[in-house]
Amino acid sequence: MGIDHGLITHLGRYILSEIGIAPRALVVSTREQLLGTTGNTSAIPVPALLDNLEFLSEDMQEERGIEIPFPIDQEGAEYLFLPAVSDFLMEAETLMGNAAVFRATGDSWTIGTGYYDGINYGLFYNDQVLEHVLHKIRREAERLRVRKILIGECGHASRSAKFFYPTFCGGRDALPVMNIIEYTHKAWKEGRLKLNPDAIGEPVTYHDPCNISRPGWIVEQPRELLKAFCRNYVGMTPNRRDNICCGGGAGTVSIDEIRPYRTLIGGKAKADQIRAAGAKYCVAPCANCKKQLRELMEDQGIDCQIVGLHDLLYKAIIFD
Amino acid sequence: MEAWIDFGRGPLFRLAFSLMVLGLLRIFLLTLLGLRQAYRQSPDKIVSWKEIGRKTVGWLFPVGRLWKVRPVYSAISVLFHAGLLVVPLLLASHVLLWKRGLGFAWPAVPQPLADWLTLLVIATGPALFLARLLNRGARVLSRRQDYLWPLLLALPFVTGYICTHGAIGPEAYQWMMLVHVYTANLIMALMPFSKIAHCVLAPLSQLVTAISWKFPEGAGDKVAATLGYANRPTWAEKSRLGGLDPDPAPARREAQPMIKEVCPR
Repeated sequence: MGIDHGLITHLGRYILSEIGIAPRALVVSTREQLLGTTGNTSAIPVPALLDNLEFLSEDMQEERGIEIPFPIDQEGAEYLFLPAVSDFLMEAETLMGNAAVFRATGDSWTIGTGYYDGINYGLFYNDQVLEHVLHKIRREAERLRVRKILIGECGHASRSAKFFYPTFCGGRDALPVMNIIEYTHKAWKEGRLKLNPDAIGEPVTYHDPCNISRPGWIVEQPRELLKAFCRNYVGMTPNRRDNICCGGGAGTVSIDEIRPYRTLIGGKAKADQIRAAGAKYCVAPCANCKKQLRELMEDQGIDCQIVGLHDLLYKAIIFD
Repeated sequence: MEAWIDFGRGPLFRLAFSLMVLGLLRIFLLTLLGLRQAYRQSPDKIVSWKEIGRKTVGWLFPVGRLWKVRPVYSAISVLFHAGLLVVPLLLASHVLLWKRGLGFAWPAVPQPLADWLTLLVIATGPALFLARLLNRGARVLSRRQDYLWPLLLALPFVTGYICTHGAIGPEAYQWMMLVHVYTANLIMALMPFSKIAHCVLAPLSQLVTAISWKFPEGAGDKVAATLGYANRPTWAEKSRLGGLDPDPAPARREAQPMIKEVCPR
C-alpha cells in the first residue's frame, strides 16, 4: 500500500527522543559531539588524531617505501574527508587504504582539525541533532573552502550527508557529497588508479550496508573494485538492494545491553549467510556493520575476518 | 420491490457515485496539496522524477515484485484486483448503463472473459479473508474492516453472476438485483472514507515517500523551542534511563505521568 515504514519509525523515534526516551549511548555520544570539548562522538582530541595519522604515515612509508601523507587543514583542497571518527582509532587499515588511493590518484584532499567526524546519530533519533551535525560539516567545509564533501566507509554517515546536506546546508547550491567507494571506483574506471589483479588470493565476499545499497547508490562499484584485485570473489544471495541487514543498524549496534539479541536473534540470518559463503574475508564498508558483524562472528562462532574495502584495496594499489 | 430497485439504481446510485468520485478527488487533491506544501518548505528541491515515475509504474503492475514473502497470497491478491477493476467498468451490461448515464461509453470485454474474472473475484475474495484469518502476522495487524472488505467486495460479483447466469425465478432475480445494486452503492459510498481509497492514493505513494523525507530547514530547532527547550536541547540532558528529568520544561512536565505509566521503570 506504499506506506513508508522508515519515515514512520524515524518520526516515532523523534517524538520519543523529544519526551526524553532515547538510547543512552546515542545521547552521550551526541552530547560530546555537539557540546563537548573534542567535538566528536568518540571524544578523540586533535592531538591524538594528529599523532595517530602521523604514525599511520610512518607505517605506510616503512611498508611501501613511499610517502603517503594525511593532509591536515589544507585550504582550497577539493575533498574534505570525513570518515566515521572511530575509524581513526579502530580502522587503521581502512584509513591507510584511503590515503593510499589519494596518493595514487593525486587529487587534493584534506582532513580538517575543526571537525573530522562523519558520524551523525541524528539520522536515527532526532532531527535537531541531524541538522546541527550537518552544520558542523558545512562550517568546516566553508572554513577550508573545499569543493566536495567526501564521506569515508560508513553507511549512515554517507546517507545522512548525501540525502540531508542539501536540505540543511544550501539546497541546490549545497556542496556535492560523495562516498569514498564512489571516488575510488571512479578513479579506477578512469584509469588513474591501478590495481594488482592477483593481490588477494583467499575467498572474499561482500556485505551490502543497508544505508548505501538500499537507495541504489553504492551497489556495483565495490563489486567491480573487488573483482579487479581479488582472484576469488564469492557473492552472497540475496544481495544489492535486497540485502540482508547486518542486524546492527539504526544505532542499535552502539547499545551494548542488547548484544545477545543483536547477535543471536536479529543478526542470525546474516550470520547464516556469511557462514554459507565460506569466505576468509567479508568486506563491509560501514563502521557500524563492522562492529556488528565482528560481534556476530564471535558470538556465532564463524571464522571470517570482517574488513573494509580499502583495507584490502591497500594491498593491491600499484604506485607509479 | 421494483421501486426499491429503481431507487437503488437511480437516486441512490447517483448519490453513491458522486460520493465516490468527489470523495476520492478530494483526498487525491489534499495529498497533492500536502506534497506541494512539503516541497516548498524544504530547501532540498532535488527530486528524481524519472526514478519516482519508474517505481510508480512498477508498483501499479507488480508482476515480479511480490514473490518473495507470501507468494500465494500475492498471486490471489493480484487476481482479485484484476477482476475488481475490469468487470465493473467493462462488462457489457454495465457499459450499456454507462452509455445511458454518460451519453457515451467504451468497448466491452467479451462475456466469457468477464465471466471468468467474476468467478475469480468470487473465489479470491473469501480466499483473502481466510489468508488474513489464518496468518498470525496478518491477524495481529488486522482491524474489523480488513476482514470485511474482501467479503463485501465479492458480494456484487456473486449476485451479479447469479443474475446473469442463474436459473432462478423472477422473485429471486429481483432479490439478487437488489442486493447487487445496494452492495455496489455501499462500496462506492465507503470508498473515499476507508482503505479502499488506495485506488487513487497508491499511484502517489512513491512521490509522497520521496518528498516526505525532505524536511524543512531549522525544523528541529523550532520543535525544541515549541516544547520549551530552546536553550536546553533534549539530547543534552541526562538520559532517561537514569530517572526522569528533575526540572522538565512545561511540555514535558505534562508528559511525565504518561511516561511513568507507559514505562514504569
